[in-house]
Amino acid sequence: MTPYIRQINESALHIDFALFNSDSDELSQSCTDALLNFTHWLKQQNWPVIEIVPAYRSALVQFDFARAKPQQFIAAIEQWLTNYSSVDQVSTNEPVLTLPCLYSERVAPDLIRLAQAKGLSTAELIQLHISRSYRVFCIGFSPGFPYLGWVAPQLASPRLARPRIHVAAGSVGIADRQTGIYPQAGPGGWNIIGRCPLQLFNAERAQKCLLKPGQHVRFEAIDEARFIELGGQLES
Amino acid sequence: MKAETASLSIEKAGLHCSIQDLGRRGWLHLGVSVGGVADEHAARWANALVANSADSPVLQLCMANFKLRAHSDCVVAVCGAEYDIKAGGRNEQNWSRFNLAAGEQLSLSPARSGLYSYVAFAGGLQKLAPSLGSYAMNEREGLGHKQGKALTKGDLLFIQRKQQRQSRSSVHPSAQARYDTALALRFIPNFDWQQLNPAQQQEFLQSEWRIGAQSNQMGLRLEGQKLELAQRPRLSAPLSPGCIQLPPEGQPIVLMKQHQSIGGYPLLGCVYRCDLEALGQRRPGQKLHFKLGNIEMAQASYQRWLGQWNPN
Repeated sequence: MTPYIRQINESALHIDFALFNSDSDELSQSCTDALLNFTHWLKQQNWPVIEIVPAYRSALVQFDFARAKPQQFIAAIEQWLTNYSSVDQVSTNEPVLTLPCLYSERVAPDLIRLAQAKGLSTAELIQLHISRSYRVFCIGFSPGFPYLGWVAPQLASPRLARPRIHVAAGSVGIADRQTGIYPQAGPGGWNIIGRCPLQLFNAERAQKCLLKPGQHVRFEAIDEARFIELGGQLES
Repeated sequence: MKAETASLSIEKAGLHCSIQDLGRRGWLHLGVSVGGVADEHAARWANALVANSADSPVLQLCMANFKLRAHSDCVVAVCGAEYDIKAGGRNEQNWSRFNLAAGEQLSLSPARSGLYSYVAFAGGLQKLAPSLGSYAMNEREGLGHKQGKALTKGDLLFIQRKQQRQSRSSVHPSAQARYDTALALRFIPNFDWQQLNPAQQQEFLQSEWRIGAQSNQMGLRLEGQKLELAQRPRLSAPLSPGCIQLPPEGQPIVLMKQHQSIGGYPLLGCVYRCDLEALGQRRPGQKLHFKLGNIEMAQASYQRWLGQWNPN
């Protein structure tokens, strides 16, 4: 068995995609692409798979224990990893999705503190956050939470030493060089710089999760009136 | 046969009284936890005693006093934590099935050991609101019946009354779990286990670990001899129930069924699937130790464990 495929419990395999990391960065585009292609391929195999959980550069494949043991699929996965070439890619050329965001101290408790800590004006901080597009690396932690990256190096900041008990739904945060959006209210330790009025996750909706791994997004600064028009809530 | 609907009303519920089934499978990739019953062993037996399917939704009580009034005759089974059970004033046994007549009250005293008790009704609970294919209530995610909010006094439950197929009326004593004993938690070592030096591995296996007060259904925080492991920043990886995380403070966390889908702490391995049920019943302050296992043994144990309800 290659060190890239691990059987972690009775019914799941953990697959490491680090070998597709093409540069010295922690995570390169080619690694995310390999993960997307793997997910696409595996879904076509008609195996007794309950689901595939992709993270940054690894995935967990959960098999239906009543129907099959995971070890019987290791060889086929190994072969895919050996044969995979970035040429036969699933197209990820979808348009960049724009995410409206209200950058205001009224909804963002860390906006001013973070700008001051970075020696920036609030306007400069906002400009840095909206000036680039981000890739959705994965969805996780809580229902619909997207991990986006990477923010400009000047904006990188560690998580709060003491996570907040309550972060409002829609809060846009920064943790290290990642940015993300809290779909539900709850505890959280990211630095909150804005709030997005869109509903990121709704179990009753056909498209339950607004974003999907591999997609590119960009933030757009909006004012309070537009925020409310789009369904945003100013209260926490 | 024409099915008839009966109702029950909750007269007293604890903090975390909920409806659970075997969980929400197939949504972890969107960050939705599997959740479901904290102790599948007790919940499966409760359903089996009243001839319901294994994934039929059940009431999950958490330690506190509980009272429920039946508005028509029904057949009930109670399995799990050690409660005193009364039906219409009569003493009833845990891990057994009994009748509850119209107008009678079912009452359970605070549990002496264990955390969760399961109440199943012959015919199964009806008119519940599922999300993502499961009734399992999850307060943090706002999913399941009542959008995950705990059951309270005044809540009504409905059951479909059917003719009862005869089956054994109590669980064989050998399958009645005890939750007041020290647990030996078997696990499959993996990932960062090899990063611990042999002395640390021995220490991990020989230490007595205590379940911390901060534990919940996302994870059990263990307290004991601090384990030093050189931590390097790492990208979050996918997780599964039973994963043993080792955060910087050197005190392991065992992930439970409502765990977050991905995380970045070092991982020492994964607890056997069939040992998670007994672990879910342990209270803060209770002790356990880890026992080294492997995949083949874990799979054989899980197969045997499942075979209790599907003999063939």
